[in-house]
Amino acid sequence: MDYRAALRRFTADRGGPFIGAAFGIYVCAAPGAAHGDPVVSLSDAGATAVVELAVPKEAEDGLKSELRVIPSLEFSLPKSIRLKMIGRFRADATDHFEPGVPDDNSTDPISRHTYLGDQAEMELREFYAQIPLGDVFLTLGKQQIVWGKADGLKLLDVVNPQSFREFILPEFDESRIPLWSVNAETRIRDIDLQFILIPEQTYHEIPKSDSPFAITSPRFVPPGVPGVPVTQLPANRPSRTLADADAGVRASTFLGGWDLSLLYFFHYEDIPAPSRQITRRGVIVQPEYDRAHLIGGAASKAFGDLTLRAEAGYTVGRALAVGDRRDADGVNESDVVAGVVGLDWSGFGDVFVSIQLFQDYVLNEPFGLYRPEADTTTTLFLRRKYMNDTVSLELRWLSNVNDGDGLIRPKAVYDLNDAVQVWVGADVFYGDGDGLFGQFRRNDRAVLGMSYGF
Amino acid sequence: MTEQAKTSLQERYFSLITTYPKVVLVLCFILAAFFASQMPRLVKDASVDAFIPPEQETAIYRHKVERIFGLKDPMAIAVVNDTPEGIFNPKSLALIAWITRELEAVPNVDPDRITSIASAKNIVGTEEGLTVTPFLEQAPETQDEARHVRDAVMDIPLYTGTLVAKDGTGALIIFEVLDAARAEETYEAAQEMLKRAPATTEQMHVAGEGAVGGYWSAVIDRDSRRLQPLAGLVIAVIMWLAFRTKSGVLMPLAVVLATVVITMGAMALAGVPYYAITNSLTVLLIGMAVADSIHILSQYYEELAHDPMASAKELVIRTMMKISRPVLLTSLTTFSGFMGIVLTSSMPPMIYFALFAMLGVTVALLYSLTLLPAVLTLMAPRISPAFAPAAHEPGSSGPRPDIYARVMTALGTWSVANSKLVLAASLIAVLAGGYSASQLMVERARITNINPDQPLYKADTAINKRFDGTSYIDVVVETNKDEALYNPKFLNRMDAMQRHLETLPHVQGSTSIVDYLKQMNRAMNANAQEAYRIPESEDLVAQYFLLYSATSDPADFKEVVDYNYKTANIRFYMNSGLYTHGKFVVEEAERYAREEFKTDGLSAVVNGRVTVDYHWIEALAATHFWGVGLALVIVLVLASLSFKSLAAGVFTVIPVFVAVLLVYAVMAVTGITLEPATSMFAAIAIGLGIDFSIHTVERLILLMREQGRPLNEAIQQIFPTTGRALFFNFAAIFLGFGVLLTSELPTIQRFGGMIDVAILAGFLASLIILPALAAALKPAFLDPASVQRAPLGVGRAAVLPAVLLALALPLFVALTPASAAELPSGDEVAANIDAREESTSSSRTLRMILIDSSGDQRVRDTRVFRRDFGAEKKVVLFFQSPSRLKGTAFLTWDLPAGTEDAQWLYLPAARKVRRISASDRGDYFLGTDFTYEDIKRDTKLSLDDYTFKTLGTEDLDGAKAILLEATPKTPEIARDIGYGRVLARVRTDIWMPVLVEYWDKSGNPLKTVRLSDIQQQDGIWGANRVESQNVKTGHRTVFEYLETSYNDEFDNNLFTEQGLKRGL
Repeated sequence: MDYRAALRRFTADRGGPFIGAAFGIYVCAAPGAAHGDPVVSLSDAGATAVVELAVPKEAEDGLKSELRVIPSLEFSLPKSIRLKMIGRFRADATDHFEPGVPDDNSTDPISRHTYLGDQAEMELREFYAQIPLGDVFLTLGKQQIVWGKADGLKLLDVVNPQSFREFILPEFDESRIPLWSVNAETRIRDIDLQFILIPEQTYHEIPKSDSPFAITSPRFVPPGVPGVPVTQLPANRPSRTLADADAGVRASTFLGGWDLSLLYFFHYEDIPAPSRQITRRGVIVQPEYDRAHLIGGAASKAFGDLTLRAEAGYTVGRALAVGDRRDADGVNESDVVAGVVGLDWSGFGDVFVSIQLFQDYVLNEPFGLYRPEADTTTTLFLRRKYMNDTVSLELRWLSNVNDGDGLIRPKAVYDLNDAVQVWVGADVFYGDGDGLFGQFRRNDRAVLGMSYGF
Repeated sequence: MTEQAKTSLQERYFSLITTYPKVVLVLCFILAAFFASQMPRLVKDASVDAFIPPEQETAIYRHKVERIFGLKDPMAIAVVNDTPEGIFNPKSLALIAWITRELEAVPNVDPDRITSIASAKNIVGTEEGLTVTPFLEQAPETQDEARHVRDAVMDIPLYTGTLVAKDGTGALIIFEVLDAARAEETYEAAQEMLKRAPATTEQMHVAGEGAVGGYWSAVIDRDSRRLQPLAGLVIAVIMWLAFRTKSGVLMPLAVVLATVVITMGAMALAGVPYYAITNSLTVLLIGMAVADSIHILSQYYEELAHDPMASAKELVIRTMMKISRPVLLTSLTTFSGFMGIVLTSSMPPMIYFALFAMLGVTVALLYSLTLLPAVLTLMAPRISPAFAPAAHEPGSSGPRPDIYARVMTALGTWSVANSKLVLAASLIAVLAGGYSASQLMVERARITNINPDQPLYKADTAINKRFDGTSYIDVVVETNKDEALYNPKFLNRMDAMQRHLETLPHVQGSTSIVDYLKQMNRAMNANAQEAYRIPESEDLVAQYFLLYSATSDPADFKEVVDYNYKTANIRFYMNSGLYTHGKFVVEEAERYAREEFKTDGLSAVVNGRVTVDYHWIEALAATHFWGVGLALVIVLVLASLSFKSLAAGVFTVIPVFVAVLLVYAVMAVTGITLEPATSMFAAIAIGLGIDFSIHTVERLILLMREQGRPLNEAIQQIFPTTGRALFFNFAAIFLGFGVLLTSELPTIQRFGGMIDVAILAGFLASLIILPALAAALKPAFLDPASVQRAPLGVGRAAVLPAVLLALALPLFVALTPASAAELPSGDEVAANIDAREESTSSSRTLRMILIDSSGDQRVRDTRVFRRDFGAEKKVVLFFQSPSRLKGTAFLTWDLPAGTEDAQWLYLPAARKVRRISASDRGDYFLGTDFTYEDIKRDTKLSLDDYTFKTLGTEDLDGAKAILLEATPKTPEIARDIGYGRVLARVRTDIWMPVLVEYWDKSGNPLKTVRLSDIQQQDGIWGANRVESQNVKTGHRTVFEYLETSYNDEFDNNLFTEQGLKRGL
């Protein structure tokens, strides 16, 4: 735990240039730094501090006592250019989720976190410039790009990878991993067009086996054969800046009361396929990232009190693990079609009800597929607000129809005032230990949190 | 201008009618049919407040009090148990709790405004401070526990007399209704509910002002269903007796029907509501309308009997030439009587009553002079059996006198023979009446308008006997700064006033914030009796309020002090609703308020039901005698003019004068007091009663002139013909008003009875006193020389009603509710608001301040952009602070009709633009007290959602504002937008609503929105401050527009999903 060394590494390494740049900008913006009006001015500065405590029912290593500080700065530049910076400092006193200093193997070196010992880390979350260029609006830099209409589970929201250090429990805004991207938007007639290019090779952050949220379900981790040693090699992360870049395009419009969008995304799947080799010394697992084409669309429209949301995606050539020993690498490429339909209802005062049905389907079912051919998940979200929206009671329920397992998350949030929010909630997993949710049934926990923002 | 020319005018008119009778019939029918089609629009107003002149100050202030303290006319359920333990036994207490609970489910009862010992709270001191707990938090199961409750309740002076009887034998459950118009339903429902009560020995009563209003409303309905057909039937029977022909019955009925239909249709058209006394108007119209027909038909049948061979047309013209003048004159005098009421009364229902009676008289006259001659022309003349020529009596022509004619003749002969006796008796009547009139008592209590055997009456009596009373006076104490009412100095002065007024008779008790404070002080001092006083220091008062709000709902004080502790209300309870009792107390309270509350920025205004009643009834006595005087003068002038002799005028007026004085005598003897309905009798009696003497004098002169008969002979001659016609005229009106005696409302009974007495007296006087007077005095205008002078011709006489009508028309215009005459229609106002000049785009900096009921503030800074894209309106709002909301954005596209509007919300935490249902428009926008719809419409009301109605005008901060009522077109819309009714005060100079009240879909008051700091910028009017106060939660939202610019340049992409995400 050499903080000084860590700090030194931080300044010399990746974070350094950004901090330096920010500092430089700030100096320029500071009054008196230049004659006349500053070229760059600080237009907004703020921070949010969050303290969250999670107390597990069984798993002792599920205890969490975390402090997050999320500072944000916004600068105005000439020609209506704006620069936004969001950082994150995170310290967990228990260090159960990523014991020690993680290797950040799935992360492009340019975005790796700075670890201040085992318990704390710093990260430049977002850093981008918004540049209006005539009819084109350019967003350049490290950012989050969100596609799709679904809540709670992701179907088209695959542009950015996600951190699974606490499974899917944190807000997506916090668990989504921003990437260095070029994001160009323009409007032609009534159609919004978006082009994205992502030269950064960062993928899902998947907890290691010593984490309480390590994934054990055979859906994702093929079971070994008793007596046969397994050598787990680190995943082969692509690393060519342009050749391995993701790229996509999206067109959206408002037509006859419908919000419609169509998209195409050429990208690396964020979960590596567990490619294996059977040798005399045992099984060697070498996870490989795999390219795929995603063609999708989303639609939403309000019908009286009801709002319908729907999205569908077709993935060409997704690498799926199969249990077929005759298969050379245990991975089979297959097309997958997925869809989600959601209905929101808020016809009764401050009550909000939302239901969703997710399903994905493997088209040419490979032999020995670990995951089900058709996988169905439903979600229910209930919320009622009280006292002029200062109190809200929520219930989220996700359940997998195939495995009969699920996750129930009640939560109460109270806005003490404009700055302080407190909440209390619980995350309850149930079902079979092999299921997507059931695998975490030991991790049931109560959560207590408070945030302060200015 | 010769007499010849005028006569021919009259002749020409009737010859025209008789030449084209069918055209006349069709026109008459079309006119009546048009007004008949308007009748369904009539609205009913049974409220006693309808009688209060709208400009009366007390009434205006009372509405203000209702707004500040939420006080309405309550209803009450009394539970009475006469056993020694009173209601403090487990069973009775359970019953009270049961009723309190069940009432919440009764439709139209405001569930937040039910008070009883089951909901009342005990204030006691504890070690930590105050605790405020409901008395019946746990239902007592044993007598001992019940006794504990008694000790606790009776220990708190606040509740004794108001919620529990001072002797503990009764308890009140006080509740308010949401919609006063449905009070009757609620009253019935409450009684139904009581029938389901667990079987017990207690007596239960439902009472209160609200219940009385409901009761009245139902009675009006029942009355009108019965009285009107009954009056019609009575008229038909009289017509049959008079003429004994089918057409003799049907024609007058047709005139009556047209009169009633047109008058009521006109009321509907003018937007004048149907008040309690309007029932008697229809009955009055029936009796009045038939009078002209009686005289015309009598004359017709008489002419026919004289000349059975004449053609129909000839007969009709002959008849009309003779009778139209007196018919015109009598209509004119009746008209004048009502004019007296219109000019002197200040109560809308009475003014409308008289105005529409005037209209009715005019219509009856019109139809009698057109419809009747037209129908008579079309019919083959058929002799009436009642007017059969006396064929067997040689030398006589004309009808044979029937029983009625013979009786009338006998009466006339007797009175001429005993003229001295008649005159002496009349003189006595005049003296007695004059004395009685000077002694006339003005008195009124609403409850006395209810039959004593009604449960409501019994309930009122029972409550007034045991409790502090059902009548109240409110005294509003105002200070000049917030929280001034923490000052013990002011509190002591309020206390002094309470103690002072409580010594006055019938004042049983009072409640104010002082009583709460005393109780709290006592609670904080170990419940010591001597600590039941106002705390010494301002700090202590403030602390008590704080302590109270810490343990209980601060809204408990809503009825006694305002939100800022600046204005307080003291409510005094009286156990008598009598005007004379109230008068004494109100006058003393007003004196006290004037003299004792004039320093230190303190002021007090006396208000409340008793005060309001006192002020308007006080005006009644004065206006009554003015009205009578005026009616007499107008009638006198008319009669004098028409007979071209003042003496003849006086002569004509004498019988009605005697008749009216006689009625005063009757009132004095029977103890009938002057109140709104009875106060009208005199003017009506004058207008109707004068007819008898006009017909008599007219006939007298005619007989003397045309047949050259001497006076005595002429007098004898009157009775078989005119006397007979007058008898039926009298019978029709007398029996018509007699129908009112069968009304369920005592006030209507008294009204009908008194008019009957006056009509009877007037009739007898003109047939007995007039001939006697004529015989005894032999007045100059009746000497043979004078009668030869031609009386005022019809042509000129006709000018008189024309002039009077011309005078009355502006009155109609001035007095019908503003909605009818001056006010633009609701749709116009709404359209004007909607068409108010707006920029095609705007950008504004909006600060939202959210204030909860305890005063905590939350501030949000936003930027709002709006732009019209042809028929589409797009609005986008971006939050800039606080940090938690920063980036949140709301976009709405108001699409042309036919397409559902679209709305999106961007929540930065989700990084996703979310489509939201536009039909959630009734939901509150992000915790404010404005709905999505409010935000989108920006002070305008959607023309598609509401039907609009203008209710009147109001003075608002010196500017004229129109009261615009908007009601959702369908229950679905009401559900969608969350409003059941909207009442906006609209400034007409700039067509902007400046004060808007909202009710929820069940009719509960919901919120009040106030627009202020209204300024013009670039030719566009806008309010820079909009405040919405939720009445239910006490939460407030203030919108402050800090910066506005119109028609600015900004990026259209702001109104897209992308723009929403990008933010500002």
